Amino acid sequence: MKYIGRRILQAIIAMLGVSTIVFFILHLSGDPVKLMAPQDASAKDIAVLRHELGLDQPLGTQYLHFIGNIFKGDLGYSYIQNVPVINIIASRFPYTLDLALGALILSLFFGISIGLLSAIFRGKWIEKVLMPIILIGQSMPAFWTGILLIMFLSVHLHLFPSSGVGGIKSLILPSITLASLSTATIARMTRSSVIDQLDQDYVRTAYSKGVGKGRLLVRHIFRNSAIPIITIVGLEIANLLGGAVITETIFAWPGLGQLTIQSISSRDFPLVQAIVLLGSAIFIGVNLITDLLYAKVDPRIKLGRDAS
Amino acid sequence: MSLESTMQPINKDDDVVLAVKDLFLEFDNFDSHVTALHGLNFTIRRGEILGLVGESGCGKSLTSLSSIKLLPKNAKITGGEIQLAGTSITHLPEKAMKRLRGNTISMIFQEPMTALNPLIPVGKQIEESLILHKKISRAKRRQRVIELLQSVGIPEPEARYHQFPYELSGGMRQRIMIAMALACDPKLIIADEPTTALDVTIQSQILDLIKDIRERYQTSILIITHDLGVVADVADKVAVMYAGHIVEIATVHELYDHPSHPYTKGLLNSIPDLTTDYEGELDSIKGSVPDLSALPAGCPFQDRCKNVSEKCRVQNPQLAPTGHADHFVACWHPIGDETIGK
Ligand SMILES: Nc1ncnc2c1ncn2[C@@H]1O[C@H](COP(=O)(O)OP(=O)(O)OP(=O)(O)O)[C@@H](O)[C@H]1O
Ligand SMILES: [Mg+2]
Repeated sequence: MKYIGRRILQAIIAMLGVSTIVFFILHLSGDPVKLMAPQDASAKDIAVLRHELGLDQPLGTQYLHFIGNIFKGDLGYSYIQNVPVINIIASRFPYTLDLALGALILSLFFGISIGLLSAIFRGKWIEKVLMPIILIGQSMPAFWTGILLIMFLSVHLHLFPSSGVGGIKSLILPSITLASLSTATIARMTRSSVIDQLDQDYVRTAYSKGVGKGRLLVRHIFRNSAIPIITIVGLEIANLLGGAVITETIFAWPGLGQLTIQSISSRDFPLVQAIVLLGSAIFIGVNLITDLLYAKVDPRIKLGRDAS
Repeated sequence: MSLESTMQPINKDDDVVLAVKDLFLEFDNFDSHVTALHGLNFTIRRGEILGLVGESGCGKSLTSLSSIKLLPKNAKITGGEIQLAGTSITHLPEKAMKRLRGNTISMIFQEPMTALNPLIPVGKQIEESLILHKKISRAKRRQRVIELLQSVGIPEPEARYHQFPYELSGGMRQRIMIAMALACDPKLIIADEPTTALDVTIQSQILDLIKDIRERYQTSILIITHDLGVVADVADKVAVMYAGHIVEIATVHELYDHPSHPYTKGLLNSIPDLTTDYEGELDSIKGSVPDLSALPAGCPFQDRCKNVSEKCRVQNPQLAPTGHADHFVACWHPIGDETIGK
């Protein structure tokens, strides 16, 4: 219980820290009023606009206002579209969620099975086939994977649409593109974690009881190798949910990744703030969940001993 | 004269639980073949405790791992035979061997800290042997685990069942290991340095428990140690190993009273509280164990032996009776034997 409470408190503090940093960095990075105002606006028009946006107030006041609003769930209006940024994000997030789920399912399934197989069959031909696959997945940049997939599977074979949104079929190529890197990362972590456990003394004890390979993996190795895998999967989930800029661009996928690019190039402060805050909240939230999972997996962790 | 011809024919004796006959073991690496065990011969009878002693690296663990067929991948049995409870296991397929492990033969390891799975409650770990080998109901299994915990001297067994290894002391964990080894009432338990990692007081408790188990269940035990004090305490018979050979084997009293191999005598002299019996005239052994990959022709102990002769450098002595009952030695010039000239 103490462990859980401490972790939640840490998450809240981290979130507050992130909000502060986001606020100040954005306000140091340029003047949005100049961007928003028409080319021929007078100095007076600009002053009025600045006043309306509350940008003429001292920075401290703006900051307190900003933090206060976050607690109220109010992230402000988009400077450009003049609608609550929450609404804009809400309209884009489902696309990112679909893509993230698609990629996650693929990378969990393939990452863990490839990792497991290459650990169990260390030194055998299976490993010799799988390791290069992991390496390729890890070294191919998303734009390259994406373009190859489009070329072969949609342009030549007409199996999938090359871009846009429309049913599950349109989700497949971007999911594979996005999953290839995560798959490699998860596979490598699974492999090294399982190999690490196979060398432990308790494995010999299990064999001496008459335990076979299958049971050893399921009952003994799996749980013991879970913590590093949970960690890496958590990071991957956070990354996927944050929006995949390159993949979304290649496939014209209207998710958060595209929105991020658009909002930055138009200096839409409130929108950028909200996206970054959402990204951080996801990251911190996923981390909190992984921490709580650690304690579920390994009872020693609740006592404050380190996971590693 | 070889050992087997002087003893009863081993495979006809119902009482013999483990018979190792002329066992050779080799390591097969990319660039080298190393023979690590050189024709071992010994037997363990029902209810007997055999101590296996020798310096680090002489092949004690390999001997025990051969008996349960859990050898490293690069190790291969290249000659001889191992019989477990009358069945030859030398070439037994892994599937059949799995049925024997934890059932007919089980093992206790040196490090109780790491030998248990850290994330499974200890009761469940004991229960696993029963799940694998006995067709009994869940409730019966639970009951058996509680009994086992009681019989190895663990208080409040119901509560302990659900505890994790990290919640127990080293001594308690070793008791758990012993309960695990006992679960299916095996004929033979191998204990590889079961007390080395423990405090002295805990050590003697564990040794008492091992003796007690033998009394109660007539289980045979192969106990490996480099500590002759431990052997004197628990074992009936002792086999002394040197560089992959058994150089002497005898009952404990016989071996301590009349050590016949110079190496054995040197080992005994290195225990402080036993040296008084030998009037301090012999110092402990000089030099170090030869490299297994570069053993000399002839006796493996020749370079450290005071009594070395020409013959020792040419011919490797085999275990042969000393004339005392149940006492065998592999030496051309055994101590106390005046008939063989030096
Ligand atoms: N996997 C392996 N590959 C090559 N050589 C090995 C391997 N395992 C053990 N050996 C060698 O075999 C010999 C016997 O090893 P073993 O573990 O049986 O010694 P031991 O008598 O149990 O020693 P200790 O008292 O240190 O446990 C050692 O010299 C060791 O170097
Ligand atoms: Mg050893």
